[in-house]
Formats: sequence, C-alpha cells, structure tokens
Amino acid sequence: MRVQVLDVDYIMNNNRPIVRIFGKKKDGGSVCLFYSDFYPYFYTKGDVEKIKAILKEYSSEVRSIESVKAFPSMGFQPEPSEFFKIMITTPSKTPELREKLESFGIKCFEADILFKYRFLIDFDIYGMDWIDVDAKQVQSSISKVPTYEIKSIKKINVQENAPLKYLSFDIESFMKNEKIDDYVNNEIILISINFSPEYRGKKSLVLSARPIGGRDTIGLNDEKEMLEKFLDIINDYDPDIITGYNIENFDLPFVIGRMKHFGVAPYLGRTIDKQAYARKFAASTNVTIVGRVIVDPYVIIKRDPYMKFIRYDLSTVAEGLIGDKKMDVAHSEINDLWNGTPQQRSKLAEYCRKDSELALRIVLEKKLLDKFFELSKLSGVLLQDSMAGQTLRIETKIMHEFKKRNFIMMPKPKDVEARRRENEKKEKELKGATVLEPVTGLHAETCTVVLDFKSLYPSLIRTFNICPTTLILDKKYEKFSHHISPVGSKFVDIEVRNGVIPHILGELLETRFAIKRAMKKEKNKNKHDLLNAKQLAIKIMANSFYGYMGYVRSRLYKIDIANSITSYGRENIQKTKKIVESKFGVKVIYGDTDSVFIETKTNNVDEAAKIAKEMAKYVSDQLPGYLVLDFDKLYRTFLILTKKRYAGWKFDETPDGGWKDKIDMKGIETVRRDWCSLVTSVMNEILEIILKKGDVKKSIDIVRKTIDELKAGKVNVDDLTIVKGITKSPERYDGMLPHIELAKKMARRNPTEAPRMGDRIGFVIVKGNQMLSKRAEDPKYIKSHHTPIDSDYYINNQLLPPIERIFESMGISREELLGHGRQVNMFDIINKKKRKLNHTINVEFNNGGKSEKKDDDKGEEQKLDGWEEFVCSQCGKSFRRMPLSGRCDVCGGEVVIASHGSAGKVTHQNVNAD
Amino acid sequence: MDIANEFFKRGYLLSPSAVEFLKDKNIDEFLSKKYDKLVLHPEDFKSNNIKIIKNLTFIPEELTTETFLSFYNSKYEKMKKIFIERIGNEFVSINKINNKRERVAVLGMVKNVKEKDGKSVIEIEDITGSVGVIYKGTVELDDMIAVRGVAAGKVIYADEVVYPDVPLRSPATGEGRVLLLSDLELNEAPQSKIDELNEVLMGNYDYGIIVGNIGDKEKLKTMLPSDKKFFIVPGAKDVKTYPSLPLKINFGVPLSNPSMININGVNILMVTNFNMNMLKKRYLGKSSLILNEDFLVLDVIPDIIVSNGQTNVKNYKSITIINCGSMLDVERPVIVDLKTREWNELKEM
Repeated sequence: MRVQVLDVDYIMNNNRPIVRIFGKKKDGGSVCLFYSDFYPYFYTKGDVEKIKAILKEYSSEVRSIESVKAFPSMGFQPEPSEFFKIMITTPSKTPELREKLESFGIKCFEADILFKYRFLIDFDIYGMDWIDVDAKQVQSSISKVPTYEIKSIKKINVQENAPLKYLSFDIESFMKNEKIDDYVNNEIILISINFSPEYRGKKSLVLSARPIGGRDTIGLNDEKEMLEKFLDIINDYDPDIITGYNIENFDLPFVIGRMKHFGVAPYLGRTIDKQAYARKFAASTNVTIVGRVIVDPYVIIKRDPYMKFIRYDLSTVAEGLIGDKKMDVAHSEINDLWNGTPQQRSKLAEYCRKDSELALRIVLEKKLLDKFFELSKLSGVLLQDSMAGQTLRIETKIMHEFKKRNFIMMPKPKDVEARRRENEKKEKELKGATVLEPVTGLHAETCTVVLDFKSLYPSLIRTFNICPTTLILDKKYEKFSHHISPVGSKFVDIEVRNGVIPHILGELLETRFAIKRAMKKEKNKNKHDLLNAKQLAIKIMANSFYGYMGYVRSRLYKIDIANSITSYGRENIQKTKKIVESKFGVKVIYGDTDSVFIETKTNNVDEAAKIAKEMAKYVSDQLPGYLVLDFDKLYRTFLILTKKRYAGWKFDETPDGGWKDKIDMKGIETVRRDWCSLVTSVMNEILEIILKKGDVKKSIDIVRKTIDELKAGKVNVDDLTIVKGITKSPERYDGMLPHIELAKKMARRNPTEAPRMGDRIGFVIVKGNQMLSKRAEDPKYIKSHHTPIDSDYYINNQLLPPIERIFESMGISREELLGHGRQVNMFDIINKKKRKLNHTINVEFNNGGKSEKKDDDKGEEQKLDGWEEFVCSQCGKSFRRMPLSGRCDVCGGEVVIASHGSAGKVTHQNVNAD
Repeated sequence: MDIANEFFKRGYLLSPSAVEFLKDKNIDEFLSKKYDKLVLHPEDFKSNNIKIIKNLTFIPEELTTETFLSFYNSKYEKMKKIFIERIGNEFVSINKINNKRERVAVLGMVKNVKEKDGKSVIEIEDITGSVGVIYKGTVELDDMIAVRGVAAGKVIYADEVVYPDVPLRSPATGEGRVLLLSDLELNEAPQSKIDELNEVLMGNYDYGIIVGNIGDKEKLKTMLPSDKKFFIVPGAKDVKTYPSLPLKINFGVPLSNPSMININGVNILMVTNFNMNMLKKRYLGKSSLILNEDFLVLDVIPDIIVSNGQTNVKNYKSITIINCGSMLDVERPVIVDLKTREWNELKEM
C-alpha cells in the first residue's frame, strides 16, 4: 500500500511504543498505520561501567547499551570515536534518564529528539513523503480511520500529493465576559463550515445553537447539541486540513473550551485516545489535533514577508488577496440580529458562513499550503511543523544528513549556555555585514547598475566549506590541509571532508537551479506554480543555515563560524569593488551585503546593461568557488540618501529586448510603514520629478504646496492615517505610545472592536494641549466628529523628516526647502554640482528609442550694481569671501553676494585692458 | 662641401647669414626639404614649435554667487590635484574629523588667520566644512595648505603645514635663442636707453619676450624687428587687473599677465612681480578678479620664468628665473639659449 505521510505520533501499548503514521492514499482515503518495532534511544560518552551503574535502577526501562563509532558534529575529527547508544522502552522516559546521567556528568546526545522524528530520521522519511508499506488491516477501537499494522516501510519517489480534504470553520460568540478565555460564561451561537471538496453535496453548512431557517443551515436546540453536531460532521467528513481565519488563537480554543464545559470530549482528531488541546504561549496559542493539520491563514500571512497588509483582519486580507470581503455586519449588531426575527438570524448565519468561506478561499486560491508542502518534503518535518519556525526544519534536515554520514548531533543548549552565547555575540559578533559607504546624492549624469551575488551566504558556505564538521578546534588536526577565514578560523579543505552543511546547500542550490530552468520551459500554470513553490522553499531553507549557525539556541552555534561567513562576505564585496573599479574604470557608489552599485560612464541604457553583464561575468570569473555575480538592476538616474535608502529610475529588460521603466525605491517609503500615506504620495511625486526630470526646484515647490495645504486643513484624513502594529498586549508597553494609547481609548469606547495584540492600528494626531500620545485618534472618529488635525505634527514629524533626507542628500537644507526668510529665486543662482537644481537627463538607447531632454528654466535674477559682502541668506552672518561649501558655517544657510540687503548678480568693473 | 652649391643645385640661394648658420651643421636634412621661396634665411631652417600653454582670454562681466563658488572651488580642486601629485592622497575631508583624538592630515584653504601667543590660529575649509588649526608658523589668507597634526575636537594641533612647491626635475632644453626684456616704459624712459634698446633688438636671437609696463605701444611697434616673433605681456601700468587680458595690439603676440608659452619644448612663464613664494605655493599671487575658474594656480611647472622689478638671474630646482629690471631704473636684457639653457646678461642699460 502506498501512503503519503501527513502526521506521526506514538502510543504505548503492552509496554512498548507503537508509532502511528496518519496518511493519505492516492484515492484520497485516509489510513492509520501502526509500526511496533521501533524503540527510542540516545547516545552518551564516557565511562561505560559508570553509565551502567547509574542506569541500574532503570533496568526495566533500558533495553540495551551498545558501543558505537561515530563522528561528533562540532569540530573536525578525522576518525570516528566511541559513543554508547542507550536504547530504552518508553519515549517519554528519555528526559528523565538524560537528567540522571547528566547529573553524574555524563554527556548525552540526541536525547532531545522527539520520538516521532527519531523514527522518521531512522527510516529516512521526510514530511509529505510517500511510503510503500506491507500492511495488514487491524481492528482498532481507538482509530476513527481504517487502521493497518505494518512490518516494512519503503520510501518511494512520488511527486504529486494525495487529494486532501479541507474544512474551514468560523464561530460567532456571545461574550458575556471580556476575558476571552472564560469558557464557562462566554457562548458560541453559530458555527459555519465550508468544505473542499463538498460534504454530502454541500459546500457549506451553518450550525445554530437555536432553531433557525435558511439554506444549508442546521438549527439545533442548544449550544451543546450544536457542538456535538460539529464533532459529528468532522468525524464524518474526516478532513485532513482544518482551517479558518485566526482559529488557532480564537475559534479552536473556544470550541475545545466549550466542549469540555459541556462534557463533550473534543476528539477532533483521527483517534479517540487523544483529545484536541490548546496550549497558550505569550502571544499565540498552539492547538494539536491528532492526524490532522491545522492551517491558520492569519498566522501564515502575518509571517509571510511577501504579503503585507495595513491591517490583518479578515476583510482587509481577503480583499487584498482574493478581492472579496466580509459581509457588512457591525459587531454591535450581532446581539440584535441573534435575538431578532428568523430573517435577522439567518442574515447573521450568512455573515458567519462568509467568514469561513473567505478563509477557505484564501488557503485554496492563494495556494497557501504549496510552500509548506515543499518545505516539509525538503526539510523532513511534518506538514504541521513546517508552518512553525525554521529551527526545526534545519535541524531535521541536518539530522537526516548526519544519520547518513554517521555524525552525532549536539544537544540543544541549556539556558545558561544560551545566555553565555548571547553575551559572546554581543562582544564578538561582526555586525552589519558588508556595507560600502554610499556616495550620497543624485547620480544623474550616467546610468547606475547593480550587480548582486546569487545566494551569497550559501555560496560562501559552499565555497569555503564552512561547517561545524570542518571547523578545526583541536590544534593537532591542523596537519590536515585547511584554509583560514579572515577572522582566523580554520576549516579543513573539501578534499579532507566535504562539510555536511556545504553538502546540503550544494544539493539544495543545484536542485533550485534545475527547478528554475524547468520553470522557464513549463507552460502549464499549475505545474509552474508548483515549481515556483519548490524553488521558493529551497531558497528559504538555503538562506536559513547561516542564521542557524549564529543563533544562540541552535545545536550547532559557533560564533567563529558565523563570523567567518560574514568576514568572507565582506572580503568578497571589497574584492569586487577593487576589480570593477580597476578593470572597468567605473565607480562603486554603494555596496550592500550582497550587491554593489556601480556608476557607469554612459547614459545609454543598452550600453550600461552590456557593461554590467560584462563586469558581472568578469568578476564571477575572478572569484573563487560558487560565488557568482549577476547583473541585477539598472537605474538611469539614482538617488541615494543613506545606506539601505535609495531610489532610482529603473529600467527592466522586457522579453522582446526592449525596456520597461519605473521608479524603484528601497527603504524610502513603502518599506517604512510608520509614515502616513500623504508622505508616501508626496515622496513619490517629488522622486518622480527629481529622477525623471532632474527638476529639483519643482520638487521643492511641491513640498511647499503640501505644507500650505496641511496648514489650511485641506488634506484628507485617510491620507494622514498612520498605521502601527501592536506587538504585545497594551498593558505591557512601557511609556506612552500613540497607537497604544488609542488602542486603550478604543477599548474603553467599545471593547469588542478594540484592536488587540498582533493587530495593526491606524491613527491620526489631532490638535490639542495634551501630550502627543494622548492625541492619537481613530480616523473614523475624526470623520464623524470633525476633529481638527495637528498640522504642525504632520509637517514637522511626518512630512519633513523623510523628505528632508531626500533633499539633504542633494545638498539642500531644511531651511532652504521651507524657503525661510529668503527670496524665492535665490535657488536659481546656486548651481554647484551637488546642489544642482536642474539636471539635464538624457536617456539613450541603442536603437533610437526615446530621449528626454530638459531645458534649464532659469528663474528671474536680480542684477546688482556692486557687491558689498557675502552674507548668509538665513542668519545674516557676513563673510570675507565666498566659503567653499557655499554655506554658512553657523546655520548651514546659503551664502550669497549681497548689496543693500538683497542679493543677485554683480559686475566686474574696469576689466578692460585698454 | 660647398653648402651654397648644394642648395643651388636644388634651385635655392642662401643668404650670407644662412651660410653662416649652416656651416657647422649636418645639412642633409635641410637639403631634403622643399622650400617655397628662392632665397633662404636662417629662420627657414629653424624648427618653430610654439604652443601657448596659459593665456587668459575671457573675463566674465557678470558675477553670480555661482561664479564665486566655482572660482574658489576650482582653486581648491586644482590645488588639491597638485598636492596629491606631490605628496600622495593621505588626506581626509574636514567633516570626517570627529571628536576622537587622533592624527589627521587635511587639505584646506585658509579662511581666517589670527595671531595668538606667537601662534597662528587658522581656520581652514574645504567643501565639507571648516576646522581650526593651531600652528607655530605663519600662513596667508586663501593659501591652500596641507595640515598634518593631531585633531582634538574641532581643532587640529598642527605640527606641519605644507605647501606643494615644485619637484626636482632635469632641465628641459630646446632650439632657439630668446631675448628677454621687462618694463620698457617707453613713454617715460630716457632716449639714451631707448637707443640702447634699439641696438639690443638688432642682436642675435630668434624670439623675444617683453614682460611688464610697455608704455607707448605705437613706439614699440616701430622698434620691433619684423622678422622675429615677440611675446608681449602687459604690466600694471598698461592694464588695471591682475590677472589681466592680453593687450589689444596688432603686432607681436599679445599675451595675458601671467601667461605661459612653450618654445620648442621649453616652458616659459611670464609674470609680473614674481616672488619665490609663487613657486612654493604654486600660486601666482593675489587675484583681483573673480573668474569662472581660478587662473593663478600654477598647475604647469615652468622651465624659465621671466619677470620684472629687479635684475638678476637665478636657478631653483632647474627653473631659470630671470628678472630684467626696468628702463626707468636698471634694465638688463638677457638672451637665453634654449639648447644649453645658458644665459647672457647683456650690458646694463
């Protein structure tokens, strides 16, 4: 029988562990497989007689103590050394035995590997893998699905996934107590369920705790009956995936809590020996349901760096992802509807139905799980665990490889060790990776190109064979051929040992490369999407190894390893800069961790691209190993404010060999979401004008106009809304933060609608005498109450700071920007390089193409008869001569020629020779 | 060999001076050339490669703030280039000096100088900002200097203030004899001296250079021999500015003050009121004009400097500096042979 592995656990039976594999057959049928010939074990090192003596009192538990030869995983060692493998009977006894041994100073290894993973690793089974088993059906009183006893397990290579069943649900509740987890008093009134595929011909059902009419609606007599019905439906439908928006934090714990309250055992899983249970952590709840996978799109989307929303409520997210939103029912209406006419109640039922429908559609239409299927297959973790953090994924992957190559994994660090590491990191860690200081300002004359390293850190790890298993810790192994990283750590060469992590990365990156090639040929959209999910999963995995080795709670943490990688990275960037500057005579104007920004010598876009490719190839040829520099981006004009903050007029090659242009920004506005949208739109506008037209003066005018509008109260409230996240519960914030104060204020006004921890909240600062944080207000409230906004705040704290930075990089001060105390046309007489206000931007292409030219529109200048002095246009300080910087050394104002208190031109007198 | 006969066979006649000129030379090269006239003079055999290296031809009438900015910044940039060529680029921008106590080297233009307790309190600036410098020696306003010392806060305690100076080089040579004259003051000079000058002008040389006050230009026009090239640089009485435009005259080659020419490979700087600081600072005095860029930076090193004021000749690092005096005082014309760099001081006038 062929089965795809969905979940694994174990039970104890007749004093032996039985591994249970929950899986799916190709026809969609679900099965539970029992395997009973596997026992837990771990390793120790030390005096075997002593170990035996210590374990004497566990003689019924310990099955065997066996000497094995294996390699330790931290530090290079040419030959395996002796470990003792202790096999026991009860998995849950492992911690006890480990602690006992450790209390006698015996080191234990792999005693902290979950039994289910011990099993999966030993049988080389990855999550979502297909296995071929020799199965004999058995009757089991505890399984809800057909159950088999298996003797042999063989991993097989099948690419596609078995058809999965999705059940999405949503509850409506009555909160009698503000405390959400008061499951004694708070009630559930409605449960909506959506199915994929359909359940008995129905796409959805709504269960009601009161008789109710309407299509696909089941009215029960009370809440207990409703919950029992819900359990029946789950058992009958037998979903693989249970989903719903925010179910992990809210709906599932609520349902479980209420079931327990009514004495209904919450056997939501595929067995009746383990109840569903919810564990609360600081900011989240973790729910376990045996044999099924819980998928909460809220949790997934919030963690996904590629899906960003202003708010993470279902309506906003659904609208953004699938273009649909919740039905319009206010929270305050629920009570009235529920207690109203049957029609009103059925309106509420439909509202509830829509919620579970949206959640299901998000999961299916956005193929939310594809990435996790692949991560699971790639790393070896079970599907449910693939949605948790990356640590388990990496550890499991490494454990699989260790098992193959006979390495023994290090234990997880204890708290003391983790703290020591934290301190060590603070002291020794190389920070900020590699950044070449930017040459700030507008680069308008010629094209700027960006070359970047493909998967820099993974490539460095591969190239320099960086791994805990290759790091030389013992001086006597320095006789093996090795290389020394820029921070002085020694790693044996690949000929001596191909490091485990470099090897894993090699496999991952080669696979990704192959997938990307296949993607180019793949015309079928579904297959293409699947390949894309795969390569993304690989990218995520590959990029997390570097972090893992520097993570204080990692099993394979070593500061020298993390620092070696960083230092090789730095060296690499410096080398690249040197090579391109000396060979191509161009100028590197900025460098990030894995990219260099190069000012070319041409304004011809085609030519710049050609040179960029040449440079990338040339540098790649010069660099060792797997380091490959690629042509990444091309900007016709490029404005850099500081490191990690820049904008450019970007040109992208189109498939037909043409160019597509757009304004590209990094770290300037969209990435910083703590500014209101007015800032964003003004920034976009001025950057467009500066980058495309080179017209700095006009952009200054726009800023001034916006300020005038703000002062006049002409700006829309929505444009002034600032959005911030609540990252911990409002009570736990120190000090006064506007959004937290507003959250508290809103909670006082209406507890049910108040934003909670994890939410993002929008606010506007209004006029008033109170502290700023107290003046944050809900935009909706402002609109309905016509509260005046604090224009000074928006000018000085929102609009100007980011915009000032833009102008400052071009040598224009805040005072100039605001035009304080000076004549408007004064801007025109300054035309120095950095402070140039009118750049002529020519864009050239090889095949004609377009070309834009801008004529200098010089303002009116005032001619003066003679000049008396040089004065600062701002503070009035006078100067003996024009300072080189053109600016006042006291206030930074512009120094101008002045006569009779005004400024302008002067003439040379008596210059004629005759 | 009969030189005249060889030329005759090729269809040319030689003047007596030409025979004299050719008699100790290898004439094969001259014989192989074609000449577009019948009678050949010595000039026809001389290489005549003259380049004008430095000459001010334009003064902007209108000055904007921008002109001032670019004027001073061009001085800074040109001088910076000279410094870097001379002593390498060890310098940091002034804004890079932080509050740490550390050794720094900066380039800056003197913005202000004060004397205090026998020390100079100098403020120097570059485009990024300004910084105070405490120094035992003296500097002048607007000097470009390299400062080495210890920065502490916003002050540098300088142990060294360096000017660029000129490097040691081997002397350049070329063809030709050049007559050098200065401050002719033709409208005031006594007739006796003018007579002597006429004699000098009849002498044996190939090019003439006149630096400084001319006075009566019409008179000069009548005095100069028509077969020799004269480079004429005006003095303070002829023009009102320094630097100045060339004279508007229809004879000779009028050049600006200062200016530089290259005759057959030898750079000759013509400047009024030369002093040694100009070489040390690589800057030719004080500018009374604001130009689009500073004209007085001595970015090309001269081989010969012709000036006025005193009468003397001296050498400084292979540069021959010649002052020919004034017709109102003592005039001492000099003829320099570019080939040997030997000079003949003619008799005092």
